[in-house]
Amino acid sequence: MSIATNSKKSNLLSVQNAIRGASSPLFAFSVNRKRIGPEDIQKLVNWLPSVRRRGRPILENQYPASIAKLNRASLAAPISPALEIRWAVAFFVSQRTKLMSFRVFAEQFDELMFNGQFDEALSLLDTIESRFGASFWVMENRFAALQIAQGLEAQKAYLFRIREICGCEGENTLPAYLAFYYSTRNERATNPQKLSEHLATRYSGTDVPIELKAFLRLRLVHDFVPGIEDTAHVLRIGLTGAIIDYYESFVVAAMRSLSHNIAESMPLYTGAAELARSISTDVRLQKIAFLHEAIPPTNIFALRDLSLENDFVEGNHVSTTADAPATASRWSWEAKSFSIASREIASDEPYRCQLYPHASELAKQGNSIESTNELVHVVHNFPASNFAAVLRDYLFEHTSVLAGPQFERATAVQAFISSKTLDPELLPHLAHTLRPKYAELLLKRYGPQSFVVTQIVTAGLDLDPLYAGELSVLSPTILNDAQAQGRLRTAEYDAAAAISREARSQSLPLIFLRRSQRFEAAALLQQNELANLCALISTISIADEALCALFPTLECANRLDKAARKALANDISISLILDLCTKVIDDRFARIRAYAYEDFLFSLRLERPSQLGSILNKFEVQKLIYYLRYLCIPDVMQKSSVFNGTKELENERLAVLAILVRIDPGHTQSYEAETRKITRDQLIQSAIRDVEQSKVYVDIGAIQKWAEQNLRERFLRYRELRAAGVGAEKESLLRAIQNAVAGKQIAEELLQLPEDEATDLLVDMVRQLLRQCTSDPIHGLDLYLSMRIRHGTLSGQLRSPLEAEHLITYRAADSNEYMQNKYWADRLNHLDWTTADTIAHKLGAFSAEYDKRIDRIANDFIQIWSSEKPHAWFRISFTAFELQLLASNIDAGATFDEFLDQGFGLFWDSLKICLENISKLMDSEIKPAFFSLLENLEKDIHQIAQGKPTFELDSAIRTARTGVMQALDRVERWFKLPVATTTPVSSFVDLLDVGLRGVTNIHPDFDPVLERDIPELPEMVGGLTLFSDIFFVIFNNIRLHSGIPNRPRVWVRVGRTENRLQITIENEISEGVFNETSAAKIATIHDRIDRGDYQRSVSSEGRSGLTKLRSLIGSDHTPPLKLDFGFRGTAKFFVHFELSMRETSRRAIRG
Amino acid sequence: MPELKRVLLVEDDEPKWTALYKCLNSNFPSFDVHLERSLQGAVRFVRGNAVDLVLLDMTLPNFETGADEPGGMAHSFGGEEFLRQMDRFDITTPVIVITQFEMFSAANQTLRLPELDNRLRSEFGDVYKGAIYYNAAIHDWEKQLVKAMHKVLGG
Repeated sequence: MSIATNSKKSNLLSVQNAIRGASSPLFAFSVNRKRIGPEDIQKLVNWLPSVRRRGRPILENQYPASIAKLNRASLAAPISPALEIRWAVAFFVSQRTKLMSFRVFAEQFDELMFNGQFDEALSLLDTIESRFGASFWVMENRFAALQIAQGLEAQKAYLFRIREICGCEGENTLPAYLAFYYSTRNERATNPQKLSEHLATRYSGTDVPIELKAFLRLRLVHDFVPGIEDTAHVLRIGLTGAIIDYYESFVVAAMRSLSHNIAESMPLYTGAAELARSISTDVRLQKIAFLHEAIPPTNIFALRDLSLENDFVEGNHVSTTADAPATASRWSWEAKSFSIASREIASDEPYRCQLYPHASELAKQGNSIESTNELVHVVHNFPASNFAAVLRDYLFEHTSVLAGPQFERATAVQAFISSKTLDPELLPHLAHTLRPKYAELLLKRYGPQSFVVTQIVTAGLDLDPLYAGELSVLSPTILNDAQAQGRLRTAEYDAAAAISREARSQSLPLIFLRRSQRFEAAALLQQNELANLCALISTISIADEALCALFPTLECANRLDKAARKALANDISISLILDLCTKVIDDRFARIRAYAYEDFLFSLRLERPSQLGSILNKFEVQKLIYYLRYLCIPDVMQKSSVFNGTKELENERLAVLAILVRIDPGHTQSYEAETRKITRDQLIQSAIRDVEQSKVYVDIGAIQKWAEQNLRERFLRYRELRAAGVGAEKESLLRAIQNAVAGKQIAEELLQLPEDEATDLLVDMVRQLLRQCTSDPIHGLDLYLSMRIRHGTLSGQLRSPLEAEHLITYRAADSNEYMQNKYWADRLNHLDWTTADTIAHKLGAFSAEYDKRIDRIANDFIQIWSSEKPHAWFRISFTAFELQLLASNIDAGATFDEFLDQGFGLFWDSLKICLENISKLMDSEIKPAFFSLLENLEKDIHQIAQGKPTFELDSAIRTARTGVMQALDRVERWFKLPVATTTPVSSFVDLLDVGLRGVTNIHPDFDPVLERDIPELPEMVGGLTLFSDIFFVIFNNIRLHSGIPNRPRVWVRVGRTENRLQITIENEISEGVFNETSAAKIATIHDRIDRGDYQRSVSSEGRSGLTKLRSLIGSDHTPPLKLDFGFRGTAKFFVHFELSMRETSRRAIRG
Repeated sequence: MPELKRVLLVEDDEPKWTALYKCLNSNFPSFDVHLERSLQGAVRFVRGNAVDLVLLDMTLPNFETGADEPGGMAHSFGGEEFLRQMDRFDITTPVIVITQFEMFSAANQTLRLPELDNRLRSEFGDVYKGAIYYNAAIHDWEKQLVKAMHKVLGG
């Protein structure tokens, strides 16, 4: 024992000597600290400040003079996690006075921010920095405070300063890297949750050092829960940085681990408990110790005033005012009260009050993107604040299905640890073994206040009969809410569901209605009552699809396996649930959604949804509307084998739309618009020639959907940056463009940052879009080249003419040798054996050469260009000029659709150039090469035969040569974009029909008797949409207002001047349609149009459509295009108008 | 030699189906071979008709392409979808996959033929009887196909 002690002493001394005598004491410490036993760690740490070099303390890095000096020292040699934690605790104990002082400032900062005293908060950050040196803590909070107080420009200016400092003072990339993401996360257009998920994926790569991975995850991945090893890595890096970052990392790691019950992190909790005795002002440590020690009876935590909470549970929902004392813990109850007793929030009220409306929106809907975004920004950008912890829990409770009442919420535990008081609302979220002790403590400290009693019921605990009377003061709504949760926690699911259903029989505020629905869904899920669960979720979510994310929709979909779907095939809710899940939660359910769509029809002995038209009254109307509107679409129906082709699918959709107009008149306009679009598209499609011949295809529709999901948010960021004047300087634009054109990677290496955010963002978006168009494995050009050409098709096409003449042989699978041509060896039996055999071998060699050329075309040429495929024909690229042009077109006011149009434009332009080059290459290289290959074969045969007759073989080669050239012509046509042989709708009569069909497709009973007086006219160009819209309006008017809804007579007359058409459409009207009222109405519309008011009144004019007609015809011609309309006597109505006319021209159809 | 059997050939590439026809004609002249050129056509046929064997391409258009029909969605794993639909309708006809691809790409996955073969075996083991690599220039596929058909159909 004494020997060991001496040895330890000598270790301590020897390490001290090593440090003192080293030229780099810090390095010596890093290397030697592993030699120190646990009992000497504190001694060494206490001694370290006495070591100085050149008059400066060796641990000055704990108070860095500049951001550039943060975490610059080398990492200490690794030690066990338990020891790393002990070292950290020792350092914190040695710096306890400063850390206690820091925590006081930190709490002041919280209060100032959330009371809206931004200037004071920012100057407090200056004070903290001057006292404790630079830190990531200050940096992170300053970004968030600047964004809220002064906006994007101010926080970007701060980012710029940091990057300058880090660049000037010797390239410290870590602070610049963190600053970049702190800054990005604060931008209003950034979704912090998505950014966090993106970074989590990035750090999951094996190329990131494990210490850095853990460090960055803790700082930038919001829901990262560190294990003990991660914590050790974080602390090892923390040791090289600011003491306050080191300390905060320790506390955050402990808080997150404990709230998720990470058992292996026990040394961390023990360390925190030990530290709590030294740093007594940090209540978080006291709370961690309290939970770690399994709720000891204690009175160290302050009590909070529960009057607001008591009022809330007693049904007195008085909305709190700005004057109420600011306590982070009670914010969620203030917000809930606000959601029931809403009031106006004045702009000068504290920041925390400005957030009430967003919180209220979430409590009611759970899916408000704007409100979620607002709160998420606070939660992610002030991660260490008490206030953010409360918001985080509030958000989780109201937006996540994982916050079901049966779960112990880790976020609630974190909110408790962050708060300064003893919080009753923690009770239901504790492990069930701890709940009785905590309830006892609450009753002892607070007494049986109604809020405390509510939490006991919510936790599923039996209330002491002594306090049973307290239940009578609770509002029935709250009591139901608490009892339903309590029953769920005690696994009494029938009772929980019954209470929730019963609660909804009364009128409930929306916030409680949602809660009761969620409780019932949780109970049904536990009982595996799939049919009822699907019915409940679909009923709620069809009115607002995003709501389904609040319910166990995903779990429900997961349970809908083949057997369950079969059993419930006749339940319309099943396909609805799968559709909601596909659209809102996880698109991997798209396939079984389509099966469920069809199974439902089959269960009714139907094949097509239009057949539902005769049995509409058998279903819940809202569910049927949803089914027809969102499931009976071509994208879903195409998975049904009932349909023979695209046109049948589209016609079925038209039939479905006609039903929808009948049963869902509120959305008639939308259905009519879709009908017109399908009708137009069908006409365009019918005019496209050679659909089968062209094999060049890109699924632009699918890529648009991809872009919506993957680029829209980045585009909004780009626009916001441009609006704030960030980026887009000409020089950086040119540099970024040059990099992009040169194919250099931009910002792909970890810690490498873009030089100019806005420009790099734009360039990267364009590159991603083009990459998707070319290389996406499901929708891109490469897939279609692969499926339609490269794999077998090309070979089959080019070998066929030779196979027909028996000129080509096969390769042996085992040896790769080509077989000799036995067919011609037999046919040439008039020659001597040697000659015939040599020819047969020659044909074998020819076959090898021929196939090699085909393989080269497929493998080297018909490919997307890359460094591995340098000879590829498809090099989709852009020039610096094109990108500059695009950048200048996409300014701060551009829409996302405009950006996509421009991006797709770049793609098509580039593809067009490739295809033109391919055509030239086919003519100049490929065809001559194949021609000469066959020509040489013929010559070789002659040479081998040496004058002996080979007429039959010669003839076969020539026939094959012609066939190969024809095959190459066909192949060349594969590389043309489909072209319309005629203008899609070429004649006036066609255009008239499109407009009429737009009406009759929806209203099949409308079948006017048309009389046409139309002279011979040139073909129209580019007017399909305009003409079909105009004629749709007119025919729909006739249907609605003529008084003859089915077969009115209609006369169409067309006249023509040099560049104008004069069109008159008259229709008969029934008796009584013309009267004083209708005449006056027409006069009013005339008057409005004459005054130029029509642009404003289009949406409000009701159903006549005449002002819309004026808009469609346009008013920017000189002289103006005429529009006239009115009654002709009492039996007719007329519309007369002019249109300008351009000659037709051929045009390519893209995509 | 097996007696008269009905074979459904699911293939959209003309040179390939011509070669397969030729092979079937010379090796199984009594067989009734029905061709479907699309995924949905094949599903429709197999739902409505008794078939002894399906010879299945892996990459298929949704609908049969033609002058007025672009074919709808392209399925890299159309053969797999066909097998799923068979499972959905409880159809137990044996299936042999014949593909010109050695590698298959789809969202977030690239599979080589042996990997796809394993996947199909584990998911559709009752009906899936293996995959044959077809190459117009190599004669071997024909032998493999005939052998596999004999094994599946007996004889």
